[in-house]
Amino acid sequence: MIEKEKYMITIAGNPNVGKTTLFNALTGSNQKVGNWSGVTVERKEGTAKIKDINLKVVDLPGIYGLNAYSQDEIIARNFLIENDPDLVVVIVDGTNLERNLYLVLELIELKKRVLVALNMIDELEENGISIDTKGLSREMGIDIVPISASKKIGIENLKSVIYDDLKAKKTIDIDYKYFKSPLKETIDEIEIILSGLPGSEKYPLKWLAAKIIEREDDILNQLLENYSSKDEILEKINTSIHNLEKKLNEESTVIIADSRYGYLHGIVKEFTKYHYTLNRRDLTDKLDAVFTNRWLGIPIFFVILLLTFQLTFFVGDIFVGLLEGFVNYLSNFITIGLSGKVSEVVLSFLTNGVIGGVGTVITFLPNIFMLFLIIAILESSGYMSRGAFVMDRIMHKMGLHGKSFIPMFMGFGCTVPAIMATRTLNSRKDRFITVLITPFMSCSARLPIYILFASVFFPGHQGLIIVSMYIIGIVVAILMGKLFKSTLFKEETAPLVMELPPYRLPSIKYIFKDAFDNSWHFLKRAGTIIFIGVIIIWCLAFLPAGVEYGSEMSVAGHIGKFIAPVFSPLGFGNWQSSVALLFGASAKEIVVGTLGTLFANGSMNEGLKSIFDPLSAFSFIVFTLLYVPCFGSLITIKKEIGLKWSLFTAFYTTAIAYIVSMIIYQIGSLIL
Amino acid sequence: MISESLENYLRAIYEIRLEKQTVRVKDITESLKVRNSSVVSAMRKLVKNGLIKYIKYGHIELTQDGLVLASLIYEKHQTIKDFLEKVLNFSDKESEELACGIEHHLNSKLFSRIEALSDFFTSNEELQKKLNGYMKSKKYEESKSLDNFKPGEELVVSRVAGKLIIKKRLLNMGILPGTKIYIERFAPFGDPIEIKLRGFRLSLRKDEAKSIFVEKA
Repeated sequence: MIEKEKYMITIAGNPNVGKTTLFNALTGSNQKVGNWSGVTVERKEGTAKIKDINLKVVDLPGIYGLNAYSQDEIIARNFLIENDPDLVVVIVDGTNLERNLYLVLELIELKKRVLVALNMIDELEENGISIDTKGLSREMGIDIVPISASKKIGIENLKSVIYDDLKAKKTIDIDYKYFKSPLKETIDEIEIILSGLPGSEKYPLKWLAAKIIEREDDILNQLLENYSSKDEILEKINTSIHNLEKKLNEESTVIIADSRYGYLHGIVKEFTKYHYTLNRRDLTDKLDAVFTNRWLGIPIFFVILLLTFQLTFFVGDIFVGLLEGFVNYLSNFITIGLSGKVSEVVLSFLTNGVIGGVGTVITFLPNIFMLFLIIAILESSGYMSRGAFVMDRIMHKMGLHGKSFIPMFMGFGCTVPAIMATRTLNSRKDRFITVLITPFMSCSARLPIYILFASVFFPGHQGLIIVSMYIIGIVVAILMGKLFKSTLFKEETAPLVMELPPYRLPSIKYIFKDAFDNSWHFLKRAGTIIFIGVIIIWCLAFLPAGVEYGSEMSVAGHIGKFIAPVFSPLGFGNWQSSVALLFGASAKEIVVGTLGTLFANGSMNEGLKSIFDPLSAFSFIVFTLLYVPCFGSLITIKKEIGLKWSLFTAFYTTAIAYIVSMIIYQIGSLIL
Repeated sequence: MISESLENYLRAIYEIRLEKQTVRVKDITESLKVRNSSVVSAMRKLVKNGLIKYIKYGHIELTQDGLVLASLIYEKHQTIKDFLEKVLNFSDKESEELACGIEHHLNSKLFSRIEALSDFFTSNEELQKKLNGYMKSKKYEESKSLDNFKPGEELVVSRVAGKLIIKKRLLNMGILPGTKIYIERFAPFGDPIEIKLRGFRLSLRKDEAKSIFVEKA
């Protein structure tokens, strides 16, 4: 039997053009998509089968070109050069051809086999714009397939063109005709200088020459790193570039960009027909007049933030009630069904350990699902970048970027993806500060703790208590951001050049899938970590054999008692809360699970009331909000910015938590 | 050495003297558009320096020293003004204003070189024409940065300056000399700025807008 042919293709494109939607359509895998520049910063892979061939599909980050100013573009460039995919499918926004084709042009220059998927053809039709794809295809020497990724139009056709292109194994022929004299001669000159240079064979020489003229110094430096006559070559190249600049009385970077854009402007004009005048006010203009309005922009932003939480709690709580009923039913069913049939140890493990802990967390899933659902809507509708736009001034004052608002906002969902989302911030300073303060944005795992304590100690005021937690988190994040800005990172700020994509109606299917995927990830993560955590806690609470479950005499009780005095100035110097905090460091939702386990023998409410008063309860939830982010977050921070910063985060957040809770408790005690 | 403002007074006296026989405080007040009291106090200082003397009926006369110094200052001023007007194509008024400021900050070496440059161009018509052409090219045309404009204005990019990393980013997004830009709005606190170009919307901070030089379309 002949082995099926295997190919590797990649999907490239500008941010916000439906790249991930296309990726999903091709691979059928579950991926996250959004309207915010750079959600797909992670490298994602999938597999697809077209007729008799198997495909590996790699999703590249959203990029505008192949320059070294952003991490994403370097990732993409290196991937394309090192891995040489069989085909690059570039998804292009038909409503914004000129800028989108810039990337296509760069890829062709790099001699990649390019297939353009011309997206948004439905929108083009609505706007009365027609594109002569055949003409454009002939002009650029590549296949162009019109599609609508969100409406699944043209996907089958695209697949068959992918198939044909892969089978045809076309050679790439490019004449670089838009690099006109005298730029053409300069490229030729530099090409000659570069030819034969060790390492240069990896690149098409004309592309390399153009990049060098564009002042992409990193490639040149890499190439010349260990080369003996480095200075001589640099000298020659610089003379060449300098002569060009003198001839055209313009900087070389501008000359290159101008050649490409000049060409694109011409061909877009030639092959598109606009039936309407372009300067009419479209829907996005009308919506922006409200959402980014000078006076309304920020109030609307806060209303949307508030609505997010109202929906999360009110709608979510309906399902919470149902799930709680189910968990109780299950617990009773097991107790009645198994009592007498299995040993006390097993029964205690099942009811106290497994159902008591994991069950508690599962019942909060509806809240989390709602939150992710709303985040998905905000992202894919285009509002997220408007939020960044109206908030940038404020964020900038904190030493951050308008874009930092997005990871921080994601932090309300879960710190782990939020920290990963900081990758799109292209300055080190913005990125590091955002990573360091994002753990203060109250994640959904902390919500169960607030809900539990608010309902026990502040009945009737739950909403207020919960909102105050979010506000405290935000305020601490702002203050720390300012502190870090002026101490650890005194470098200058990164530019904010951010696209504001057109508003688009989010696809219902997509947002639900996205929310489902995220909730599922949360559940899986919570499930495994909590399961292990709960078993450890159960052991600690159950052992040594014979002691009353979770009593002071248990191992847990001893550990708790040992560290409890440290928390006396904060109002919760009891061993139970110390145990809960200790285990909560592995994942914050465990705090609730632990308390559930510790008070399993009686009523949770009574148990809590026996060790907390409202003030110490408040101090306790503030501490859980601020102290060391969960194990998962620390692991992510280590992965993203290094072990040193991960340890630093663990230490400084706990110190801040201790100080803030102590202030609250001590001042509160004086007043009350 | 006397102060800048005294130099201006001395030059004013010299200029008035070229037109009229007599110089009075009132003439100086009119010529320099300053208050009477300022002129009186300046005159007192000039008398002290032995550069002028009062003669009867409030008339002012330059001393021998004053005359020498005033003519030097005057010539310097005229040379600078001519350079600005004839070589660099500033208007008469602009040249006058600029010369008033510049003349005090030149050492004799720089002054004599400007004089040489000025003579060089005025005696070479061909070169002056070439220079004029150069100055009219897009790159050197007078343009303001984007942050100086208001929403609703249609502009054309004339130059992209600034640090390479920012410049490349802007160029990549299609902000090039000749690109048409429309300022859509400012964010709630006046920063960032939303612009439209090539059929899409972009948000820029004022700091970045400072490196985009534009002209009205």
